[in-house]
Amino acid sequence: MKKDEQFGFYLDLNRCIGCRTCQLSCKDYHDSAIGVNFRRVFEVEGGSWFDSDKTIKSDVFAYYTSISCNHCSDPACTKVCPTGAMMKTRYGIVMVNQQDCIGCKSCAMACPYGAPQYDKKSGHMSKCNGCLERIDENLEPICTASCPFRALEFGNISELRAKHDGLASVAPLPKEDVTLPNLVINPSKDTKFSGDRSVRMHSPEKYQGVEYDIV
Amino acid sequence: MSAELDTNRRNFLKWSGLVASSCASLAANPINAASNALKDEEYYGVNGCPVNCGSKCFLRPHIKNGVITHIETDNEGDDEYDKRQIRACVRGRSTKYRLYHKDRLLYPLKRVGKRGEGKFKRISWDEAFTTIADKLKEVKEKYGNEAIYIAYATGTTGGVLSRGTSGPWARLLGLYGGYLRYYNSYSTAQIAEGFTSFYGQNTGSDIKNLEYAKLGLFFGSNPVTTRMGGAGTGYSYQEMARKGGAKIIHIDPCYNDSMVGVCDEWIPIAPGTDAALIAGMAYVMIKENLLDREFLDKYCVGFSSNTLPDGAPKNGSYEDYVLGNGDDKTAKTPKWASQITKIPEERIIKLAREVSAAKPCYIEQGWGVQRHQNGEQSSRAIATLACMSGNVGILGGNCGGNAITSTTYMIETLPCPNPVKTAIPCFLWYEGIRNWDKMSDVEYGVRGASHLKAPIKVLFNTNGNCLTNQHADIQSTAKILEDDTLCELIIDVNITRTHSNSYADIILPDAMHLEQNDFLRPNAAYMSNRPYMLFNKKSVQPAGECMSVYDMCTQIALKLGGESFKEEFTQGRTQDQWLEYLWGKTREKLSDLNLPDFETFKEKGIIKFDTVKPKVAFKEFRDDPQNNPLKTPTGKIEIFSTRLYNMSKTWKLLPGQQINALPVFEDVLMGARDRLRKKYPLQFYGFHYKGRTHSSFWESAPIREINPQEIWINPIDADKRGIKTGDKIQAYNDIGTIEVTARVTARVMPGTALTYQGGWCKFKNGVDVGGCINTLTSMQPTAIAKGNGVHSVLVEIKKA
Repeated sequence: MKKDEQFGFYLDLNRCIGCRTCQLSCKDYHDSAIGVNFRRVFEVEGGSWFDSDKTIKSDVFAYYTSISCNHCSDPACTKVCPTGAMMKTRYGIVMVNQQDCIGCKSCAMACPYGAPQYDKKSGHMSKCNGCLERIDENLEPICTASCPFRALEFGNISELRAKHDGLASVAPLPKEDVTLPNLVINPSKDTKFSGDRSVRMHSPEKYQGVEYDIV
Repeated sequence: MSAELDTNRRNFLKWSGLVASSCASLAANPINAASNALKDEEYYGVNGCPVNCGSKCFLRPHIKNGVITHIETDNEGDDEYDKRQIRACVRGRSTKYRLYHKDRLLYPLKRVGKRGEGKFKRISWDEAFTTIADKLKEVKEKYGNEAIYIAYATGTTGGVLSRGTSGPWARLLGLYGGYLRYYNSYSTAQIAEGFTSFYGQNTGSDIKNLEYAKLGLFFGSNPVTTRMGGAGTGYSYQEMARKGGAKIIHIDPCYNDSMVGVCDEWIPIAPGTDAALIAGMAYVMIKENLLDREFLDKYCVGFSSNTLPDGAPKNGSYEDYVLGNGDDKTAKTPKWASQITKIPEERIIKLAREVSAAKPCYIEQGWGVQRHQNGEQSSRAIATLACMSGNVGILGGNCGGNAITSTTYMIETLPCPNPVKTAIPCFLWYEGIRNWDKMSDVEYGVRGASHLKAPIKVLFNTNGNCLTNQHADIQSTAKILEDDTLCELIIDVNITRTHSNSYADIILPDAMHLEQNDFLRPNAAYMSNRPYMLFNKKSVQPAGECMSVYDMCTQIALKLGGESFKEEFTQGRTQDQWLEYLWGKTREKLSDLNLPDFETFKEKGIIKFDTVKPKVAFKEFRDDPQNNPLKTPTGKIEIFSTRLYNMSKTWKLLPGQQINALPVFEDVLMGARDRLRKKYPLQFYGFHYKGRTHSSFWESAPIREINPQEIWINPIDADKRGIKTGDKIQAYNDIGTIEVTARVTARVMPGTALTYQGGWCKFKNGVDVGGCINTLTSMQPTAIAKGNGVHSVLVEIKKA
């Protein structure tokens, strides 16, 4: 990628099985703490059961959205940052300058994707930086290169959009006109549009702490 | 839990993980990082993931000043399907967290206090080796070699020199006069015996066949999770489903992840009732003349009375069973099947017609189907469907078995002779401890002898967690282990403390696969149509005093028989010299492959071969049955099994059990129609989790953070009990109680609840708060295989 091109992600919902390899490999590479997840995988399910007591029918379905920072063209986070620590940088990547960040979490409140992550240890915000040091060296971001099912790609967003049909306005994500995310999603036959209230969303990490004394 | 997130940004944040955790930073905490340095530079190592998941994937640890900073994977080439990268999944990518875990075992430990209390103290390697050698000598003298046992374990199953079970331990004890063998596995006991009776062997076709199929029919199969690595069966399944465009139907009690994106229809089925569904379909196929009669008559025995073998009972064919001419005088109509399976009658009729019309039809079963008390029957019933529809032995079809690797180029392994020929079913080791004098061939499935000659007195648990956690009825099993007058010495080898090694007398700290050189066994992987080989190159020095099992065994050999026995064990070779020697033999054996020399393989770490023709199970038999007979008594497919028929007359069974020559539906202990369901109304079982391989990887906090232990319960059942997602709930029966977080989800059918198998049990006041399924499972072995029918479980669930 060239430095003046806009970075973006592609996600294929026909391929993503929610294995969270992208999420873990990102954590491993960036050495993020528990509770800090630059990439998050949300599970969506829908459909109902028709239980007649004797037999059972369903039209249940599920799909997963693996979402990182979308390095938006109209980012909500940079607008609300009081110190200018949250900024657009080369490849159009949104990154946080930790030295200027005061940890006020305004960006986290503003971002509709939950991308900025508060790091308790440093007291600053942290987030996906597109692995830009790897891009500089012509390498892929850790997450896209890790996907066992080849559901993720990265690149110049114009090229990704030309290569793949898709949209970014799928449930449970917000409509793309909110922040103009650089994200292309290939929906599956089950995928619902943003705002569809018939589907349910599951994010396991929200309710479970992690302790060490498991034996 | 709604999706109105675009209008409510704060809600989105709540589930983003951002405000979720109150945990301290759990970033890598290297042990003796400086002293572990092999060299002061920054580079990528080569390694592979040896745990027992069904994939074996390439790891590239990034090493800086002797510390692994993170782990990457195969990035070679353009990653087209035929040249696909061997990408590791979430489990392999988390290896750093295991390696540098703060609870890594660093020194040999010896039990203090009562067995099972979990109290240990540090001892020297010399004391550990002396204790083990002295006891081995004493037990060999007093009871003979059959009193020594290496338990089934799979934590390092992909290794050669680092492998538990059939690695250095087996060689050491084999050369010392032998040890009691086991047969079958905790994964596949029932299908192994079922298919051996049916086809003469347990096998299946390559999933690549799906490309050529019109219909893919999957029973309890979830390859994207069980074989999650990016070069094997799971990835191949998705690719071939897309490429060939076959209609994909899954029959399963839950909407598993293999259905996401590629499945056309999910047919929920009550757990353990697959044989009833097949019988109902058979009824339709018989009545509507949809059978491949030509195939059944030519290749099979016992579908109809005209092919029943001599000595079989009159009206003893499968057709007789289905039409109600057999002993039970019950026609297996779709209505009958519907009441048992919960699948609507019209759907069963339609499915029978669809399978008959779609040629070829790829019919596969996962191993969950057979892990029931009637698993031998269900696995054979699915195979019978493949026969009725004539899909055995043809491209695009499958025999009903689990998908396999088309071609495996095997690396030579350590020779492990064992003079003792007596073997027990791997699940019944606990009977070898407490009921050994009752263990016979016709009651406990003992092989190689009519009875056991000795109790198990020394037990090695090598890199596994099957003594308690992955066994059954953990609390009853623990009681057998607690009595140190029964089994007198339990040696456990592992990298961390587990519930199983709480019952050890000696714990030996193992070096991990990043801390020693080894091959990865290609035959431990499911590669679909593209074979490869991997090398584990030592990346860092072993933590603490950790040692490779080969070095442990070398030292024990010295204690057992001095320099001469040590020499016999090692053949004068170090671990690395063995690897070089075995590679030389491999190159000789596979000379047409032009394999590189040892140093080249060690540096590169990976050898990928060209794709091969997809294996079609029993193709040779189909093409020429006279010259390629099956290994069954009749040489044909035995829908009526003569082997099982004979066993049904001679074997002594537990109350309620039977052995039937036909793949009939059987009601079983804690099955769908057990009367116990009045008390415990929910069927319950544990399925493979994305964040673990059985119980491996669970010690890593970053894995647990994104893969919490949960119980899946349908909204209909949850509402009745006032349960919401996130609630702490208890699932309980007469065997035990587990307490886990509820996940209310439509992805599991009503009347059934699930949890992920392999959670680490942890008992607080008798309640397992770790959520291990085996706190609830029965120790009763299955009728034929004497296997772990641990998917047959009934529970009630309540809020904790």
